[in-house]
Amino acid sequence: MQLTEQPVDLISRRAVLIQQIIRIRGRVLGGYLFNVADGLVFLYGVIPKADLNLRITRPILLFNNRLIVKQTFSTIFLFAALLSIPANVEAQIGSDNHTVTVQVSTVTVLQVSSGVVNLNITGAGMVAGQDQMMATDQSTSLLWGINSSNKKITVNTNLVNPTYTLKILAVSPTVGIAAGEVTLSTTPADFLLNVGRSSGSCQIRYTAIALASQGTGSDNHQITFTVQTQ
Amino acid sequence: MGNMQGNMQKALMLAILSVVLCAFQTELYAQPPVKVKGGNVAMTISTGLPGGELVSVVNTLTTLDYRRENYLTKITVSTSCPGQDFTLKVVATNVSAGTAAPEVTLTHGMLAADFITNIPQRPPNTGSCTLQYTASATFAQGSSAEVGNDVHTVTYTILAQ
Repeated sequence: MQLTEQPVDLISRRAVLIQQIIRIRGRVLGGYLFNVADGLVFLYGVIPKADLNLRITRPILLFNNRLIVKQTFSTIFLFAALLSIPANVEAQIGSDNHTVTVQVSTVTVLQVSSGVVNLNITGAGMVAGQDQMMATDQSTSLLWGINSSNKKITVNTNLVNPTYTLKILAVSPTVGIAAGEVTLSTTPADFLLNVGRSSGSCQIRYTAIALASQGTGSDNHQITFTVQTQ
Repeated sequence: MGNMQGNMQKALMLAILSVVLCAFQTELYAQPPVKVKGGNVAMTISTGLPGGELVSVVNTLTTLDYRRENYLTKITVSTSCPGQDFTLKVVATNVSAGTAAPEVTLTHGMLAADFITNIPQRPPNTGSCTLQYTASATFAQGSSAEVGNDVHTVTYTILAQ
C-alpha cells in the first residue's frame, strides 16, 4: 500500500467519518478513517489513554467553512497530520454471506448408437467342405456415463435357445478394459471392466456363427447392457 | 451585543446542521452495506449424457442488494468449502449499478475475486443484482453418495475501489 502524506481539506471534500481504528494497549495508534469524494483519508496521531472515551461519533459538521469536532477533542493531534490514501486502497465497508449446497445424484446412463443390427449369413465365400459360416458387424457403439466407483458393464440376450451362435466383443474402449469376446446367453456376461466414474464409448462387434448342419432360419435377439458393481 | 447575537446564530445553524446530518446518516446507514436476499441455495445435478458429462444446473433465485457510497466501490466474492469436489461458478446479472465482472469460479481458499466493479457513488443510495450460480460436475468426480455434498459459504464484500 502506497501512502502519500499531504494536507487534505476535509470540508471541501465532504468528509464523512467511517470508523475509529487501530487501538493497541490503550493507545490509539491510528486515528480515524473518513470517506471523501475521491478516496479515503486517514487521520492519525497518538491519543492519550485519557482521551479514549472521546470517540468521535458525529464529528464533522460544516459551518462557516470550518471543521468542527466534538468539544474537548484535542486539536493538537487532530491537525497533527493528514494522510491521503489513494483511491485504490481496499478498505472493507461490509460483507454478507449465504450457503450454497451442491449435490450430485448418482447418475448411470447407457446408450447404444443404433437400435437394430442385421447379420446375414449368406455362405458367400464359403469353402466347400467347411461346416462353419460367419458374419460380423461393427457398425454400432455403446456410450456410457457413470459417476459411481467400481462398476462394470455386462451384456445378455433375451433369447433362451438360439439356433445360431452370437458372440459379442467391446472394441477400442476409450475407458476401461474389454472383457473379451463372449457368447451371448440369458446369463449376463462381462462386457467392459473398470468403467466406474467415467464416461466413454466403445464399438460393438457382433459375430454370428452358423453351421451348415443347422439349416436356414433366423434368431431375433434383444441385447441388454447393464451397469453392475464390479 | 452583536457578537453575542452572531454566536447564537452560529449555534442555531450548528444545531440545524446536526439534525440534518444525523437524519441523513441514520437513513443511509440503516441499510447494510451489502445484503444477500433469498436465503441459502441448494442445487442438485441429476442428469448426464452418455459419452459426455453431467448436465450443469443454474440457480438465479437469490439477489444481492448493496449500498452505494460517496466514492467508487466494488464487490468481491469468495468461498469457503473444505473438501470441495464439484465446480461452482457465480456471475452477477441484472446489475443496476456498476459493472459485472466475468464469471467467477468459486474455489475453497481462493482470494476474493471481483464480482461487481465500478459501482458509482450515490445517489441513488442502493444497487442490486441477481446472483447466477452454475453448478457442474464430471462423471469422474463421483457423486454425493460417495464424496458428500459441497457446502459453500459464499461471502460478498463491498469495499472501496
